[in-house]
Parts: sequence; structure tokens; C-alpha cells
Amino acid sequence: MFPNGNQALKNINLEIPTGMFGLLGPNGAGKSTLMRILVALLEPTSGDVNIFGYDLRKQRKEIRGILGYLPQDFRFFAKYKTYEFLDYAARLSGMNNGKQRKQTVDAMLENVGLFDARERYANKLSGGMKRRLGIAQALIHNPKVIIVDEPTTGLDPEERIRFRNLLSEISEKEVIVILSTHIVGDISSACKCMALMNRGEVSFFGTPEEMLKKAEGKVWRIRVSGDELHAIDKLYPVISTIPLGVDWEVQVVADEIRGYEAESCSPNLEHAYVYYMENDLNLWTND
Amino acid sequence: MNFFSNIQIVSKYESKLLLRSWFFRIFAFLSLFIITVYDLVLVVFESDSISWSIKALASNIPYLNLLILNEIQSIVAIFLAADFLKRDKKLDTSEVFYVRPLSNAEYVIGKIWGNVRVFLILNLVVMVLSVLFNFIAPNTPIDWMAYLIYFLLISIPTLVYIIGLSVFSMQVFRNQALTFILLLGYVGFSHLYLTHKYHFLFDYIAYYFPLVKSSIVGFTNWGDILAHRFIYLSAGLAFIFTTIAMFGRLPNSARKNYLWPTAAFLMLLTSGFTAYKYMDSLSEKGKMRAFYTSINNKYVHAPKALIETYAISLEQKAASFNAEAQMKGIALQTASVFTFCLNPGLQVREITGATGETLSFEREEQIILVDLGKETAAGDTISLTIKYAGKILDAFCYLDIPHEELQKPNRVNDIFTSDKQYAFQTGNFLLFTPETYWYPRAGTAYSNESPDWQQTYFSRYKLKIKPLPGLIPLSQGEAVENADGSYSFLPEYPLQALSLIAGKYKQQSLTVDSVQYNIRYFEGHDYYTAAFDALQDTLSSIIRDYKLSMERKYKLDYPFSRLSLVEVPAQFFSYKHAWSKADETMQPEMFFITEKAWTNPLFNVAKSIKNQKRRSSRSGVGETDEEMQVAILSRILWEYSLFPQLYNFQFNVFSSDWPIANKVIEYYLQNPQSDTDADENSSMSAMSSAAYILNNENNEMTGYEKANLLMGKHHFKDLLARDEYREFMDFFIESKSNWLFAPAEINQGMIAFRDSVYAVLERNTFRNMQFEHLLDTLGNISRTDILSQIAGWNQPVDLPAYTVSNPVVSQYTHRDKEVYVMKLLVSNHSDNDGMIQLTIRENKPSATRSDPKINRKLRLSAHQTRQLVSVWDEAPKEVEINTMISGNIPAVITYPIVDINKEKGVITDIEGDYILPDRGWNTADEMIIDNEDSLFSFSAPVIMGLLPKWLNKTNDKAFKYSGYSWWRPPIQWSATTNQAYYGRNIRSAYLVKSGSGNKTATWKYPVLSPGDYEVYYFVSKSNDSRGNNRSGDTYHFRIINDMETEDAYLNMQNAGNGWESLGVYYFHSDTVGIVLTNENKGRTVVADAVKIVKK
Repeated sequence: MFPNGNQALKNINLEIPTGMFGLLGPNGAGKSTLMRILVALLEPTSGDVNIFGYDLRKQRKEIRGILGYLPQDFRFFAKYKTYEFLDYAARLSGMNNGKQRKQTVDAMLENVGLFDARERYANKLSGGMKRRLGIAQALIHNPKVIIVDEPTTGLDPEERIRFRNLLSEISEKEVIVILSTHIVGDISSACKCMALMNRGEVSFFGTPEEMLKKAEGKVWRIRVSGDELHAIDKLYPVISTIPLGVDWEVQVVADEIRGYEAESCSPNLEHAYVYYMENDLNLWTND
Repeated sequence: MNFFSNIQIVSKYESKLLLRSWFFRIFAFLSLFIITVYDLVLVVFESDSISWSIKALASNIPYLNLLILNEIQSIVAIFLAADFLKRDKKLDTSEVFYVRPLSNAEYVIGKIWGNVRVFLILNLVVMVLSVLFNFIAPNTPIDWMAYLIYFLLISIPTLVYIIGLSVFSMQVFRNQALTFILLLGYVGFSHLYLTHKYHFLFDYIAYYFPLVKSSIVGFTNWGDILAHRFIYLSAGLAFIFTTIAMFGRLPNSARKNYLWPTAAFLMLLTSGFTAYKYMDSLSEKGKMRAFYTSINNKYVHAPKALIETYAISLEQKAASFNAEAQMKGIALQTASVFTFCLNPGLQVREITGATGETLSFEREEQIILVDLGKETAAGDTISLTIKYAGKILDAFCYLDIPHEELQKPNRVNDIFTSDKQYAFQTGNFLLFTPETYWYPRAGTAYSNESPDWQQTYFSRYKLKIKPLPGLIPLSQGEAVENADGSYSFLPEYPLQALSLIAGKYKQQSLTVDSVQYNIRYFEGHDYYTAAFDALQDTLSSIIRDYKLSMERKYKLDYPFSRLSLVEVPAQFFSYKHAWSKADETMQPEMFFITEKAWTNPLFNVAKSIKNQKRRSSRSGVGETDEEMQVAILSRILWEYSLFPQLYNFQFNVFSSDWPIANKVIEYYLQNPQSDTDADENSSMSAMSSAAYILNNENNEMTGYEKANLLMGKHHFKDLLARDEYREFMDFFIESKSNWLFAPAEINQGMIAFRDSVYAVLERNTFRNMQFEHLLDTLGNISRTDILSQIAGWNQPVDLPAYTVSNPVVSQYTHRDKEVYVMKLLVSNHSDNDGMIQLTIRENKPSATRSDPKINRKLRLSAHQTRQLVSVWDEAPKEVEINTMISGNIPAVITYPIVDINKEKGVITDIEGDYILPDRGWNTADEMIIDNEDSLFSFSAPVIMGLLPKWLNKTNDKAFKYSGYSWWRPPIQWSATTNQAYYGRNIRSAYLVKSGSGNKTATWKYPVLSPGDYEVYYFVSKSNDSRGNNRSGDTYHFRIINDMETEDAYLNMQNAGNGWESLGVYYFHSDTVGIVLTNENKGRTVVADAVKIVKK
């Protein structure tokens, strides 16, 4: 609950299993708030969070011990060198053995491709490198729960793929990776489970397959003229438009299409996301 | 993972940040640079007069270094420490540390410790640096302990406090700029305004707090030091704990954590409680002092005895002593119960009578009322023995000194503050002066109701002391060591009181003319013998010269068989009492000097001799080593006046009415009567022109002039009783003393009268003299009624006022022989009779002030004008008229003789004082309007803002004429005084800073008949020429008559001193206004006097 009375989150009831968990939602849906609650930076007004048996209200220390966190904004550093930042994080997480810590830090730097930049001041790293340093610090102490908030924002496609792969790899282990994103593409097949958030509420919880299933038969391909395109755009949520000479091929999401010749096609996650958003918000209905 | 390792981690990384910050690096570099410069200049090269205070007390090296560093770091710490909270907020990457499993306390403490740690490292570096300089400095021991102690006492509490306060403020205000402004304001306020006030309570750096450490007794105020530093240490911790409690991160556990708020509260409570106790103990001391005085008042007239012989035996214990005092004397009144006074820290165990019978007694704090069991008639013998033991309570000392005076810090060179210790009683040093009442004395101590307590009687003393092993006792008389390790002292002369010192003393002795001269120094403190290596043969004669010239100067003989210079710990302090110029640093046969005379740069003998050598070789004089050493030693000896030894320990003048009776005589005897004395003694007679000019440099009233005005308003007793006039006390007494004997000097002749005084004194050595009786005797000798003047002391003085004209000197040459005639006109234009002192200095050096032609006092009755004519073989150089107690400002007028009129022929003037008819001030055709006249006015001050008001503030509100600094002249018309100004008895003018012309001064002249008039303005350039030497220093006048205004300008650069014409004007029959504006390019404009002469 914000001081102005706005509720950032309401009625959240989730049980997140091990493996990668994707939290999808538009900007302002409350993802970050949820993340910050999960990492004990914010205290929920009411409700309980239980992580690996620890009550977040009562056992923050234990939870903080098994947590790795990469915040959404991760750009400005104090005047630490790359390896110092990581070393500092490692030490604060209880890695007291100096030799072992050094090895771990070096390995982690190697892992995220920052070994060569280890002596550079963290502030001088590029955006992608900073993100990688961010994930490195989140992983440095082998946490059981890894929470990454919008990690791919601002990354180039190559960096984004690397990132996704890195997270997939980690999620293979017996850990929970909670990945929040507003980019549907980030919820890869590696996500065993996902939730869709909107306006502070969970509108879907399940596997990506289940989500896809919900959108089956709801995605249509329509061939229209330029004038019709505007009409369609007002009637249905348009996912893509492809120019075909004078005509356009339009993909829309809808329970049914009236008045146009439409061809059903198989949905992907993005279609499903739009379908949910449309259902949830009724953005495109004219009723 | 534990508490400390987490703190360690956070602090390590916080320290890294601080070390990487340029702000810190620059600060550290600057600090080290400044400290290096200070150390090089002061410690290694000893290039400043304060060097000696650092070298003589080696502990002052770390003290100084850490003071400087703390001064800087206490400000820098505000910027750096408050920064981490801000940084955490600003940097989005900080959150990843917040989600680690460390507690808020670990995090905040780690951050703060990280900051403190870096500052501590800097402190260590500074200390290493100062040890290095300490090591290089010649003949300077290293006080290792002092390094540690000052680090713990100055640096640690200061840092913890200021860092704690900074982070706390940051947490509360959540705004860095606001925090900085508030904290810097606080630092400035406490450092520049509060300073030592409230007994240093707000001096968090301990910049003013007394922290001088003696190499003999260490600190003497441990209780206060620990309390003061603990107040800040615990307040700092309270702030830190509050910051932890308020820290904006969810705590590790959900349980309400009461630990830190509780700890903060407790710390704050502790700090507040310590501060309360600290202040309370001081106010308690003040209350006790008032209480002791009230008890003295209660018994001041109670029957007492005159003790003729004392036999005191004392056994020193580690922190106390046991003593027995056998006393024999006579009863001064008929009574059975007699009053004695003993320090209230000492407990009386038993009192026995002449035959050993136990006497009953009552004790009320310091007072012992001994019941002899039977009535003893006045003059009958009294004999008793008092056994007592305990520890001296030094709050009992100096009951007469006002509280504010006691609270004033004892600052040395404006850097070090030393504690003020009046008595010492530690395992390795003991010092009791009579002020402590360490043995029972008849009567009471200080009473503010009756000076009767002051009667001091001379007694014969016998002292036996058994000091702690290794200590050598010192007292009056020759020390004889007994077989049991005790020492006996048997002073050859009667004494008013006895003092006792014991320490690890070494001794150097020399007997000259049957007086034994000793230096009693502490082990390892002989730094001077080597420097005076060439004096073996001449030492005796230097000392002989010193003693003889002192005796000659005061015309009194040194009465004792020995004279010792005794070194005492650095903190020893004494106040001057109102009734005597002597203080406790001098005891019969003894001078005390505090540790190596650390406050007096002259005692840096090696350096002084080196400087002398340099000067000598530069000037090509080619002095020998011996000559140079003689010069330095003589300068040191002349620092010490023998006067108290010659006068105070031999004589005592007492009056039941006038507590300052003795001081009146002291002043009279100390006033120099020959020119040679005047040179040596200018500070004693500040009435001499040199001192007068010194005081008057800024056009300020001198102490004498202020005292004169006060004496015109209040009666003498009232002035003496009021603490607010304490600063003028000596001026009152000196002026009264001069005035009291002046008629006798005029009647009998100055020298003859003085000789009579000495003759009377000599008949009364080692005796109590009744002041009134003494005056009566002197009155009889000089055929003057001196005594009746005392009755006049109960009323304010009717101040006479004099007008003195410029002396006119004419040179007559007749048959190749030159003769000079000087004529001087002096009028007393008041209704009160008066006296003045006239001094004429000739161009020849052999003249002595004892020649009545050169130096004399003369009477001037009310409304009397005298022309003083004197004839000289040599041209007179200077005339000085001292108006003594008068309404004249300046009170001393000095005329250098510059112009001499050449005359031919034989002189017709005959030497003598001629009474002339009373002169009028103005004539029909000439009128002078001075700024003191009612016809003068100036523009009223415009309403000012607070800041200009504050800047323009003069501290001395009680007196009309204030001084000004030439670089900051007053922004409103301000009355100032200087002898160069025009005036009858008050030579004053109004002065204002130059400006646009919006401030004006107006002289109004009532025109009696129309006609042409010449207007003059009185110019006095000599005094305020500084800053006025610019071209364009031109005064702008407006002459207003009959609605017409004419401008007149006076170029001050071209004008000479005295009357300068502003031109001739036609005035109609009306009032003329001559207006001076402050429009000027010079720095100031002075409004003094105008003269209007009918053509």
C-alpha cells in the first residue's frame, strides 16, 4: 500500500516451484513491488510469504541468506572495481574463506565474461556488462532463490540471449529463479511455471503451455484492404500486420471474428499474452 | 558469520571509498601539509615565540598537532560521514547489499567505523609525523604517553561525536544541504561564540578545554577531562545508535527491536547525566565558595588571637597528610572561645591546651572555634596544639575572586589551555601556599563584609616535615635533614605565612654577599646550564647587580638570607587579590616558575642566545659569548620584580575600613621616581606617555580616563565593591594613591616626602601598620592633612577640568650663550580645586625625574589660570601634563616641542608660576563651536538591519568615547577622543565612515550682527591619516544662512594641523549652519570644531 492509498498489489496468491518462474506483466503491473517484497526490501501491508519454509515476516535473515537479487535498475555504483563489488557481495553473504572466495569470484567473473574487466571500476562498465555483474553478484553465493527484475531491459539481442541462457542453466539446479519481465520473449521454454500480472493482480498462473492452450483458436489471420485495416484495428487487438501488395495480412486475437474472412492459426506466447491482456482489460472490445 | 566480521567487511569497503574520494585526499594532504609547516616552524626551527611553550612541555607537541588536525577534521567529517546515507539512496546498486543477511546495526556501524577508521589512520599518520619532528627537534624529549592520551582524549570523542551527529542529522533531515548548513552553523557557533562559556561544556573538540599535561604531575583535572570527553563520546554513540534504529531497511528479524533505541536512549541519558553532574559540580563549587565566605563573614569579628610562634610538624602521605600545629600567642580580645581558620578539607583530630589538656572545639567548615575553658584577658598568653589530617580542598582558595574570573580559561599563546591549580597534593609533588590555609591561622579567611580579616601578623615559624621517600621539601628558612628522613626549617625572620613545597628537586646554589641564590629544578629540567656556559665568572656580579638595582629602585632592602627560583608544575596558577599587587607565585625567599617557564619565550635560552648571536653578527657589533649570555640572563632576571620580597613580606598596612590600604601604599612605592626607573617600569606606571599613547592609538579612552569618569559618579567604596568595575580596580587605586600623597609632596617636596615614607616604613618592619595611623604620621611630617582626604573617599570626586594651551618656547641668544624660556598656560575652568603633574623632558639624557623643575605636582584652584614660566639651558624636548583625577579626556596631554621662536637680547622672564585672571572662552569677535557644545548636532542614525548593527556594535557601552579600527570605521557618527582633537578639557570629535553625503554634522552659529565672517575648521590629521592618504580626501561643507547654501571644500591632504580657513562669508542676522557631510573619498570624516571670526 502506497502512502497515497494506492494498492500496488492485491490478492496475490502464488506457489512457486523450483526451476525458472516467469512473471510477466505490463509496466506498472506491480511486478517490481512483488519482487521487492520477496527480497525483504519492502514489507507487505498484509499477507504471508513463505520461502523454503521461512516466514518472510519473521525470518528475514534466513531468507536473505538464501537469496540472490538483481534489481530492475542497476546502473550506478560506488567507486568499486568490478571484482571488489563482487567480493564485497560475496563476503556479506558469508563467504569468509578468503582463498575460496577469490576462486569463486574469479570463476563467476569468468562465467559472466567479466574477468578481463575485473580491475575496471564498475561504474565504467557498459550497460550489458553492468547487468552481467548484477547477475554475478546475485549468484555469487549459490542462492536457493534468485530474483531478477527485468534483467534484459536495455540489452542488445545478443546479450539478451546470453542472459536467458545463463538463467536457464541455473534453473536446471534445485533453485527457484524468479524472472520478472514485460517482454514476452524472455519467458522462454525454460520457464516451468509462469504468472501473468496486471494491475497488481495475478491474472494467470500456470505453465506456459497452459497459457498457450488458453489462447488456442483465438488467433486469427485476416486479409484486408488498407481501409479495412483501420476498422479492424479498432475492433480487435492486432498483433501483426504484413503488407501484401495493396492488401494487408493482419493477425488478431479474438474469441471469434465477424464480418471478415478469418483463418485460425496456432498461438504463440505473445498471442496468449495479448489474449489475456485483452480479456483482462477489455481494451479492444467495443461493448 | 558474526557481528564483528560483518562490521569489518562493511567498514573495509566504506574505508576504500573514503580513501578514493578526492575530497578526503585533498583534506588529508592539506592537513598533513599544515601540520608539517607548523611543526617545522614551531618545533624544529623554533621560529616563533610560542615555540618555547611547545618545547618546554614536550606533551604539547602531540597536543598542538591533534588540536590542529581535529579542528579541520571535525568539519570535514561532517561532509564525509553524512554522505553514506545519501550515497545509499542515490546509488541503485546499494540494494543488492541490503538483501544480504547482515543486520542494520552491522551495516550502519560498519559504515561509520569505515569512516572513523580512515580518520583514525590519518590521526596516526599525524602522530607519527609529530613524533618524527619531536625526534628531530633539538633537546626535546618525547612524551610517548601524551601521544596516546591526547589521541584518546581529543580525537576519539570528537570524531565519534561529530560523525554520530552528522549521520543522525542526515537521517532526520534527509537532505544533505540542509544537514551541512545546520551542522556547519553549529560548529561555527560553538567554536566562535560559545568557546569556553559554560565551563567548556559546548567545546566538543576540546579546543578550549584545559588539557595541558605537566611532566611532573600529569593532568590535574582528570575528573573534569573524563566527564567532558565522555559527554561527547556517549552523545556520539547515542546518535549512532539512533541512526541504527531509524535506518530505512527492514530489520533482519520481525520482532520489534528495542535494543538500539534503548541503547541510544541510555547513551543520551548517560551523556546528559554526565553533563548535568559536570555542571552541577561546578555550580556546587561556586555555592560552596559563597558558603565559605558567608561563614567567614559570620566570624570575622569573633575574638581571635595573635599567634607569635608556630611549631608545625607534618607527615606527608600519598594523597593526604597528618599534621600538628603548636601555637603560642596572645589574646587580642578578652574571651574564652577563639577563632581559627583551616582548610575545610582538613579534619581536626584533637586540640590540646598548654598543659596537654584536651580542649573542646567546634568546627564549622573552615572555622575552628576553640574553647579554652576559661576566659582569657586581652594580652594574656594563649597556647594550644591542633592535630589535623586530610587533603587540601582547593575550592576554598581565592574566595575573593568572582566566579566569572575563575571560569576564564588559562590560555597560553591562544593555543593551549592549562588547568588552574592552586595547590598540589600527589605522591610525587606537594605544594601548599598560604592561600590554602594548610595550617590553622588566627581569625577567618576572606570576608566580603569586613576587611578586618586581612590583618596579618608576623609570626615566628618552626616547621618539621617528613615527605614521602624521594621528595625534597622546600619552605622558608634553611632546610636541615634529620636522621629519620624528616626535614626541619627554621626561618630567621618573622613571616606573615608559611608555604610548603615537596618534589623531586635538584638544586643549584650560589652565595653572593651572604645571600644564597638557589635554583630548584625538577630532575631532567636543567636545560639552561649548558647555554650559560660562559657565565662562570660573571654570574655573581650579574646577580649582585640585579639585587642592588632592585633595592635601589624601591629604596628597600632585601630582608632574607636566601632567594630561590622554584620550579612548579605547569598548571600552577594564582590570582592577584584586590588588596595586593603580589600574588602567590611569590613567597618569602621564593619565586615560583611553572615548568621550565613554558609560558615565557625568554626562557628558551639556547634559542635566545642564538638569536642574540645572529643579531650581533649582522650588526657587526661582535659581542663575545659571555656578553651575549649576560644580556639574556639579565633580561630574564628583570622579568622578576623583587618588590613583593622587599615590601610585602616585610610590611603590612591595614585598615578596617579600606581593604585596599596596603595596595595604595604599594602603588605609591612602586611609582618610578627616576628616568631610569621609568624605562624599566613603564608598565607599572601606565600614566607615562608611552603607555598612554599605546592605549590611545585607536582613539579609545584609557583605563585611567574611564576610571576618572567612574570616580566622578560613584564613591570609592562602591566602585571597589562592584564586580563590574573590577577591570578598573587598579586604575582607581593607583589614581587615588597618587592623589592622596600629592598635597604632601607639594608641601614637603616630592623627594623629601618620599624619604619620610621610607623612614616610617623602616621603623615598622615585620609589623602590622594601621593605615590611618600611617597617614596621620606622614601628615604630621609633611604638615599636610592627608588623613582627612580618606573621608572624601566616601563621596564621588568632584572632578576638576583643565584647559592646557600649547607651550611656547623661545630661544634667547646673548653673547653666544643660548637660553630657552618655556611658557605654558594651564587653567582650571571647573568649580573644583585640582592638582596636576607636570613633566618637562630635556634633550639631555642625564636629567632625572627627581628634579622638581622637571617633574612636579602643582595645585590649581577652581577657575584659576596659571602661566608656568621656566628657563632652560637646553631646549626642552617634550612637555607632559598629567591631569591626574580630572574630567579631562585625554587625561595626559603631551606636547612635543617642535617650533622654537628665536629672540634676540636678554631675557626678561623670571622663572615661576603666575596666577592670571580667569580667561574667557570666546570673545565678541571670535567664537569656537566644538563638538561638545550644544550648538553642535549630527544627523540621527537611520534604522539599520541587524547585521550592520552587530558589526557596528561597540562593547564598551558605559563610556561615550569609543575607539575604532582604521580598517573598519564606524558607520554612524561616533564620539572618539584624541589629544590632537580640539576641546577644552575633553578633546573629542565625532567620526564616521566616508559615504555618499547622507550623514551630516552641523555647527550652529547665532549671528549677532550682519557682516563678513571668516569660517575656520579644526584639522587634526596626525591620528586618522591611515587610509586617508588618498587623493580626493576632501571634506565637503555647506554653509547655510538665510535660506542660501554655499558649498565649501577642504582638501585634507594640503591642509595643515590646526585651524584651516573655509573662506569669508557674508552672514545675515540669523543663525548660520555649518554642515559637514560624510561625502569624501578618504576613509573617514571627522567632525571636530569650527571657529567663526568677524572680519
